[in-house]
Amino acid sequence: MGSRLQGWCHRLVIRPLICGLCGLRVTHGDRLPRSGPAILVANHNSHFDTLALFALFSSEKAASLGSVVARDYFRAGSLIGWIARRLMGAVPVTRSWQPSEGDPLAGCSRALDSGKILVLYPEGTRGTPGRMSELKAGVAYLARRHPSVPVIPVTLSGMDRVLPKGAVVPLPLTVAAHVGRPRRWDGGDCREFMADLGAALVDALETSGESPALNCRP
Amino acid sequence: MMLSVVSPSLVLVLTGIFALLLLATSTVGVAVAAIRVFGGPSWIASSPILPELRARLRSWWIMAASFSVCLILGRVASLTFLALVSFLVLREYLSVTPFHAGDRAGLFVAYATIPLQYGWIARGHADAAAMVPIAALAVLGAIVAMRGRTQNFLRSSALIIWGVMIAIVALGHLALIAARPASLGYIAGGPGLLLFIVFVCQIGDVAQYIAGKSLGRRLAVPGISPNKTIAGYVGGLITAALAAAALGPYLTPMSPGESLAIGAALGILGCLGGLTISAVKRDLGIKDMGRLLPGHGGALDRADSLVFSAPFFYHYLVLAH
Repeated sequence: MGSRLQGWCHRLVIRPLICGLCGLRVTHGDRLPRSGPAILVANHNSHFDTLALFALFSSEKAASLGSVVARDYFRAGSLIGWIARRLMGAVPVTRSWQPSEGDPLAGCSRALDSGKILVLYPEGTRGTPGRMSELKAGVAYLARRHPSVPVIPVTLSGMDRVLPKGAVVPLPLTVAAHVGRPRRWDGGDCREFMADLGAALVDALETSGESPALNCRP
Repeated sequence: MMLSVVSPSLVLVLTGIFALLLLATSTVGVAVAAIRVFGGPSWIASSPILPELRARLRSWWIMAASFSVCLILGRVASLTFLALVSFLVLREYLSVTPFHAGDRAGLFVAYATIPLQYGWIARGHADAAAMVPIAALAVLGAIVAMRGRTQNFLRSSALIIWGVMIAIVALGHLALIAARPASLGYIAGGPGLLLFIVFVCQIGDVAQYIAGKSLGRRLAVPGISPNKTIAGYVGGLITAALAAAALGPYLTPMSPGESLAIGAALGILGCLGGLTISAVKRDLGIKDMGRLLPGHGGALDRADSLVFSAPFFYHYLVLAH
């Protein structure tokens, strides 16, 4: 039932908004996973980021898409929490985790075990457009626990102009998604793994410049 | 019932366009097959020209088919098609133009001029549409001013107003042309006039591309267009004039001689439009406005030759016919 709702939301809302009203320009779309489990890692500037990442996939795959969200922002019982959970396949995680609360990544692990494609923002929150904040290491722990699951960096640009922080009405503008080379846990250490991912995201941010305005600011 | 009002000359010209497309597609198809079977000179196997031609032709089929269907369906469909073109052109322009976060409200106003312009044209108020650029100037200027910072005021407001002028005001003249009342004695009505100017400008572009690729050497304006040659411009101009002379008597109230002269004028204005849009792109540091039409670039890359020629043709019709 929930997955059917997610499919219709993808078909009737996400795809028309992102591909019709805005226009989505994808580079290296062939690097996207054909099926789950997989982890997509992206820079985060706008609520529309998740819609753009979901729009990279066909509506048939909508039910297998999920996004990792902050439990404190997307509260159960709030409207935005309901939308995230029922329509976007959200997996809530606790940002300020206490050791007494058990495994913080249990929800993500369960989702990956059931074959989901998980969207995750290692910056932890919506950062400054055009600049990467320091990355949290959660992705690395998750990748270490699931060494066969590919981690794919996706650099989004232009989203902060469509729907910046605090804005409610999206502005129709073309956005770009650059899909990076998939990587897997290589047995090294978490810091190196995150540094490599961060470099992949930043490089694409700087070189996605067929249209400089998509990432430069006056 | 609706189809019965479509003029025979319109159908004839549309058929001719599709015959031309079929000819071009089969020529390229035969060339590709021949090279695959017999092998060709090494330069053609390594050059991107054949894949580019095929991409261009595929886009031409889609553009010609959607444009023809809208022309035949009538007034509302044609105006909707043109409004969509305005939207796509404005969207790709604003997407590649740098803006301050505070200009967001101005960008919404820019989009809002689309229903304003096309709504008035659809209701037959051609003269009311003339206030759209002034309204845009006033509202956009005031909104950017209300940001409260004088720094970059001209830059921000001019960037938005340029987009509105090109995408909505200039290209909107195509809708004014299409909405010319049939009672003025136009043989094929507004749709015939619209088909005339679009075909003349586009065939001029195609000829310019072919002449420029095959016999062009000397660059016309090397600082702005690295691909445009003098031979290309001359070829485009002659083709536009001849196409206009051939079609004018069927689609418009103009005589053959008059059509030839107007075709030449449309050809020159088409070149100037393309050159101006190229200058905009070079200033923004991009090659194409977008990737909407594979092989061509964005919508404005295809429509740039209509930016100046559409207003000229509309006002010529108003004054002379």
